[in-house]
Formats: sequence, structure tokens, C-alpha cells
Amino acid sequence: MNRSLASRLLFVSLLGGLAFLLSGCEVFSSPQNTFAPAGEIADDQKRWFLYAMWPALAVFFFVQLGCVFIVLRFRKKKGDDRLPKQVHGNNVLEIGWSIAPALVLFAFVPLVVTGIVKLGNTPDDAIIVDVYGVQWQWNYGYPLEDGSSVEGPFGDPMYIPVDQNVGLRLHSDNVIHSFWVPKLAGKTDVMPGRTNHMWFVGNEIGTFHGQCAEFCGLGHAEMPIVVEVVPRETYDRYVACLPAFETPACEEEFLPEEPVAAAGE
Amino acid sequence: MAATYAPKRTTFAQAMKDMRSSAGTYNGVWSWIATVDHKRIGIMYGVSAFLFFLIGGVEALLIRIQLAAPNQEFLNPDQYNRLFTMHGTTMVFLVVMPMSNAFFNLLIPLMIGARDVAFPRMNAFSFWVFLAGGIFINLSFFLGGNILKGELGAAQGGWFGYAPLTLKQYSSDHGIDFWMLGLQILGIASLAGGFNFIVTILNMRAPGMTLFRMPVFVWMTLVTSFLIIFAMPVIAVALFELMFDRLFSANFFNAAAGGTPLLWQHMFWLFGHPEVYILILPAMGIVSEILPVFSKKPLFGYPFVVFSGVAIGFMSWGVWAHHMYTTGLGTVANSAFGIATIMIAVPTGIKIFNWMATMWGGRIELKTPFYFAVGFIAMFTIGGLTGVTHSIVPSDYQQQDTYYIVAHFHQVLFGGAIFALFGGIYYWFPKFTGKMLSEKLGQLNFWLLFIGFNLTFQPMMVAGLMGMPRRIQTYPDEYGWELWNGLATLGAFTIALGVLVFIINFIKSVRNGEPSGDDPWDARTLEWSLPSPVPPYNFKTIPQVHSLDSFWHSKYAEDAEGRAIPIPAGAAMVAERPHGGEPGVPDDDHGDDGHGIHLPSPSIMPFIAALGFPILGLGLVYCRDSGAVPDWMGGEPLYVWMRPLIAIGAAIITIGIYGWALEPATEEE
Repeated sequence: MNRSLASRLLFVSLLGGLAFLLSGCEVFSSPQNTFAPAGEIADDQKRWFLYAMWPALAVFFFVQLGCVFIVLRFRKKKGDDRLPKQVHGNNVLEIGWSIAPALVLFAFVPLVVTGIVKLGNTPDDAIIVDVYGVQWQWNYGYPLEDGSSVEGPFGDPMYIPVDQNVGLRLHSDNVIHSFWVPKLAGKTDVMPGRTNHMWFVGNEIGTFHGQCAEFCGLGHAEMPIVVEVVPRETYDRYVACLPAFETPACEEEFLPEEPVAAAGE
Repeated sequence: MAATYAPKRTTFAQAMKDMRSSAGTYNGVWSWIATVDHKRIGIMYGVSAFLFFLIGGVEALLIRIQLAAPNQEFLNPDQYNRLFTMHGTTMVFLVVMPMSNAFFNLLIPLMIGARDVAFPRMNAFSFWVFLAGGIFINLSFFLGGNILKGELGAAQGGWFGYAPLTLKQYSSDHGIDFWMLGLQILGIASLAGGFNFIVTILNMRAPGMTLFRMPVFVWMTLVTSFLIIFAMPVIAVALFELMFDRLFSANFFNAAAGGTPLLWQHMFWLFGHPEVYILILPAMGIVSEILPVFSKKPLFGYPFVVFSGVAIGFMSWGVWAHHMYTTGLGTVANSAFGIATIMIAVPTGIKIFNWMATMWGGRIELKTPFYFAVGFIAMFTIGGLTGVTHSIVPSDYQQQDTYYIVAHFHQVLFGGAIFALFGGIYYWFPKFTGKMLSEKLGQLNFWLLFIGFNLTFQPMMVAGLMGMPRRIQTYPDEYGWELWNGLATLGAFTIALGVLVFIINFIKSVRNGEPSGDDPWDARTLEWSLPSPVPPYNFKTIPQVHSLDSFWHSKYAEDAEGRAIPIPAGAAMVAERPHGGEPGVPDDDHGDDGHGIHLPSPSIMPFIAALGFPILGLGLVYCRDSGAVPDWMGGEPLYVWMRPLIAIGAAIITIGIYGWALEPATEEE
């Protein structure tokens, strides 16, 4: 019974692993899917993750199949009363499996360091957007030509030009939040008392969703982030409309539409 | 003269009676309260940890019900935050740590050939303080809100308690106060236990038991105890700073007034990462004991397993900032901690390969403890490998604080620690009860846990990679997370079913399990040379140890091929000298009832001293609460009533410790 159960489990886990790899299908799609990047940084991060995931999967199958194989192969058979050879160890083998994983793992070091350096240094051509996290909303400030900045209203999406490096300055005057839009870039915490930096780029026009990723109290689950990656001109128009969307054109383009009344149907 | 000695067959009830008589003048419940016997303390540790496991489990189930489907309102955000905070706190501090401590207590003296721990009363103190702290923290459900307004409460800042969310201005009720003072109390218990086991292991080993003849479990206990005594002070300092911020308006963490929230994170994780190894190393020790016994082979590469455990202990101090990659520490810090995190995978990998090599070529008996041990290897490996993916720092910015992390650490702490602890219970149950746990129910228990575990935590990995953050009590339905969360909830209830089977098995087997005999597994370490259940004095004669796995070598020799062959004469020797006396040298004739053996006297002083801590804690929690008590009590501010508790608690602790210091260590003859 145990044997069949074990093999069935193995089958199920293999199937699960396979399903996981075929991540194109419906159940694997999400507006916050880290495996469906829409910008250079998120794309790098997905690739780096896979660099580690493939060897990890290899070790995973080696250990899991190894355990199942060993248990089935060496389990006590009926009538076999002889005790096994008392092997206490094997220095060559053990030094081998100390050094081999170390070598594999150290191969990641250059990747890790270059990746950290890349993500840690905002490119010079980036536009710098200020991000303000409060309990439980976001607000963004955009740079103006004259070096000052202008803030959008609370709850408005962040607008950024497509294919443009964007640097963020993250500010909080309350608790810790974390700015995260999975399809564009991994998160950086928004710490009170210090200004953190991150940068990313949106390479596809569209609306991208994220949410606060650091527990920040009662409204943590409902502190969404929306980033609109738009053509350069749209971005310019948006910033020009700030802070109050005073012209009708601004209102029409950037203010959320009133909910359509049911009576109009 | 003593050549015809045969081990006395005792029943469980008889053993309990023996233990009671060892508790001297105290009877009934008092004999447990006053006990200083490491085995009874171990049992109490185990039972309380298991009860807390049930509480933490119910919290987990409530969380899973809430998350089973999108947009649910089974729990409101406030309740949800309190539940996940208490779930984490409970499982770490009130379940895995004390359950490991139960095994230290039950086994360390037996494995090293001692009659008790070095400081038996401090051992009792450690347990009672732990229990007091555990109850104190859980009291916050009832007392953490404003009791005068009838509000319920508990800490809601997460088990990691990140400032400034935990400060008074963001968490104004008393949940956090109970949490921080409760953890402080639990820290005292852990420290007492840690020192005790270090001294016990270093000083009380039987003659001949050199460090490198100690069972791996003893080694891992030693490493864990060192981690405990260095890690707990760090969290104690952090908690004191939080206490001063909250109660006395100090300013360690409030950025608005010049404090540093990041300071909390550094201290919490400087404690918190060694803590992870405090939780997992005992489990690795248990697995290292179980695998060789059921494979009928010695542990493959004993020195490598020991040294990799020690290496993990050292390295655990250099990786704490991998919990903080996204806090903006800078490129240098992130690189350094990333590389350190990569390195710590090496000793862990060594252990896994050694365990597999231990099974290789063995004659494996598929019994429940072995299932759990192999389950441990399989599941812990997933935890380790997902850990390696975290060391790729720049891509970890995506996984940080998502369900991928939740999956990762449950693979380590549930698939790892809890599986090993269950395996340990199945393995050592016969030693302390003289009865076997049912094998049938045991395997059912294992498979339910195993399937439930995988169903719960593997889907979380997918949900995390698909962008689901942690600690959210609700999620929208178009985000593609509902299938994974539904599966996880299904899995959680399968786990619950598995735990239920365990409870049934345990109760049935304690009542009328099959008699086990002294050495049901044909095991290797000293405790199995003793009668089951173990008599209060443990060893009639302190054994002489000649090698690693001394007890095994008294039963088996090796033939020319290296195969183990039973020693017929040796078997006789074991029967004659169950406690490992030198052949040819007579046992000193103390008789079976232990009268000639010097045992420490029971004492209620540790219990009394422990009693003071929660009272002192209650006083502190409310010491600045100016809410008015009801008119019939005088209408004064609450603190007028509560502040005296500080003095009363302190007085009780002082009385307990003085009484302890002044009472004779042993009763006068």
C-alpha cells in the first residue's frame, strides 16, 4: 500500500511541477504575476530567479527521487535477516559533496553582486518621481522643468512615460510600507525617517497593478498601487494638468468617470 | 552476586507512581508542581507545547477559512491581524521551541548517562516561567483590548513586531504590551534552559563519553543552547527598548522624533535568524538519531554532520539582513549578506546528503518514526532550495513579503521542525511510557500530515510568485489566486485531521498500547539500555562509555565483510548490565528502588518564583492606563489599581528565589 501511495504521490508532484512550468495557462495569470514582466527590471528579476530555480529543481528531483528510490530499494525484505554492512562514512565522498554544492552556489555570486549594483544605482537619465505612502494610500510627486515638483491627488494612479527609466524616492511619515508593482519591478520598503530609492522602466503601454507589500496595519490589504505606463505625450499632458485638473480637457482625460447611473440603461 | 540482575518490568502506572514517590513529600498535582525530575519536566513541556500547538493550529485554520476564497468577510482586518500575529508568535515561541525543549529535558541526561540535569530546580523554573509566559501572552485575547469597555484584543503587529507600527500611536491597545512582556518572560525561560543544558552536556557526561562520542542530538542541543544564550539577550534588549517607547515615552523607534525604525529590524533579525536555527537544529538532531536506527547502519559521516551543525550555528549570526534586503541597506550590505546566505546552504546540503547516504545500503524498517524522518528530508529540502532562491538578492526583491516566503518558512518549520518532532514523539514514546504508539494510526497520521502539508504550502509558492503579498486578509477575485488559496485551505484541514489522528493514537496508546519492552527499535544510544519507562533515578549505575553508539556495540559486532552480527554473549551482558557496567566489575548494590541513589529534593520555589512574572507583567501592561475603573470600584484611573501588581510580582519573585537559595538542596536523611 505504501509503495503505491508513494509512487502516486511522486506522480502527482511531477504533474504539479510540470503544470507549474507550463505557466501560460489560465490559472497562472494574474495582474501581479512576477513571471509576466512588462519592464526591463522585472524581466531581469524573472531571469535571475530562473537561473537559481533550474539548478534548485534539479537538486529537488535528485533528493526526492533519491529518497523514494533508497527507501524502496533498501527496505527490509521478507526473510532477509542479515544486517547491512556498517559503513561509517567516506571522506572522499563527503568532501566531494561539500565542495560541489559550494562551487555551484558560488557561481551565483557574480550574478548576485552585479544584480544588486544594477538595481541599486538609478541611471542618470531617469526622471525622479516622489512616492508618499500613508495609511493606507499612495500619492506621487512629479518633477517639473524648473526643478520643483508637483503632486497628484491621493488615490490617482502613477503616470510614467513608456520606455523611460523612472527613479523613485520613497517617503513615509508614518509606518513602514513597501512599493511593489510585480510586473515592473520588485519592491523597496518605504521607511519613515529615511528616503529609499529604487528604479524601473515600463516597456509596455498599459495599466499595471501592485500593492503595499509591508504590513502596515488595518488597511494593509487594501492599499493598491496602479501604474499607468503611457506614451510620452500623455505623461506630459498629465503632469501639466496637475495639481487640480482645472481645464475641461484635463478633467475629461484624467479624472475618473462618474459611475454610470443605472437609470441610464 | 549481582550477576542475576534482570531489568525490573514496570508498567506506565508504576513508573508514574515511582516518579511520584521521587517527588518526596508532595502528592497529586503538587508532586508535579514541585518536581525537579527532568523527565516529568520534559513531559510537562511537551504537553503544554502540544496544547499551544492546538491553539496556534486553530488560529491557522481561522486564517485559512478567511482566505479560502476572495472577498470574504469571515474575519475583519482587525481580527485577522491579531490572529496571524498570535499564530506566528505561538508557533515559534510556544510550540517549536518548548517542544524541542521537551526533548532536551527528556533525553539529554539519558543520552549522556546522567541522573538529572545540572540544575534541576532551574530546570523546573524554566518550565514554569515558560508556561506563565505562554498563558500571559494568550491572556491578551481577553485583556489586550480595553477590558473596561469589553473589547477583545491581542497583539496585531505581526510576530516580527516592526516598529513604528508597534508604537503607542499606531497600536494603542494593550495587545502589543502583552506581546512584548510575554516574549520577555519567555526569554527568561529560554535562557535558564539554555545555560542548564550547556552545563549539563559539558559537565555531566558519563565516564568515557567524550564530545565525539555524544549522539548527534546531544550535539545539536549543545549548539542550540549556545544560540539561545546569545540570541535571547538581543531580543530582550529590543523588547526593553520597545517597552520604554510604549510605556515611558522614550524614543528608540519613532522616526518623527529622531528614532530609527530600522534599529528594531536589525535587532529583531539578529535574534531572529539564529532563532530559525534554534528551531531547526534540534529537529536535525532527532532525524540524525532516527535514520540510523531504522536503517540498521551508523550515521554516515558523523563528524561531518556534527561540524556542519556547528558551522550552521556560527554562520547563523551572519545572515540576519537577508530578512531586510528591501529596506534600503545599500549595495554593499546586500551583497555581503547575500553571499553569506549562499554559503549557509552548504552545511545544510552536507547534512541532507549524509542522511541519504545513511539510508543507502541499509536494511530499512518502514516504521512511523522513519516515515517522519524521511518526510523531514524531503520537505526540508524544498525549504532549503527555496532558501537558495532567496539568496539571489536582486530577484528576491520580487519574492520578499509574498506567499512564496510564507511557503518557504513553513517548509522549513512545519515540513522540517514539526515533522521531525512528530517523528521524535513516535520514536521515544515507548521509552517514557513502556508502550508503543499504534503503527497503523501512526502511518495514517503521517500520510494525512504529509498530503495536507503539501496541499497547503506548495500552492502558496505559486500564489507568491503570482504576486500575492503576505498578511493581507482579503484579495480581489480577478487576481488568479483563488485556486491556490482554496487548495491551501483544503490542505490545512487535512493537516488538522492528521493531528486529530495523532491525538487519538496518543490517548489510546497511553491507556492500552502494546507493551514495548526496553529496546523496541533495536536502537543505538544509551537511553535504550534503560528500562521503559525510565525509573526516576535513570541509571542504577553510571555507565562506562567506550565508543560512539556504545549501546549498539554492546549488542553487535562486525564480521569480516563489515556486516553487523549479534553478539550472543554480549546480549547476555546487556541483560546483566542494562546500565552499561564494566564486564567483570560488580554493580554496586543499591537495590532496585533507588534508595541508595542521591536525587535532588522536590521544591515548589521555582514555581513560586515563576508565578511572580505574569503578575509583574500585568502591572506593567496597565501602569500608564488612565482609563477609569467603574464607579463601584471608586472611579479612579486603572493604573492606581494595577501599579501595585508590579511590587507584588517583584516580591513574589524575590520570595521564590530567596526560598530557593535558602532551602537545602536535598532533604535531610
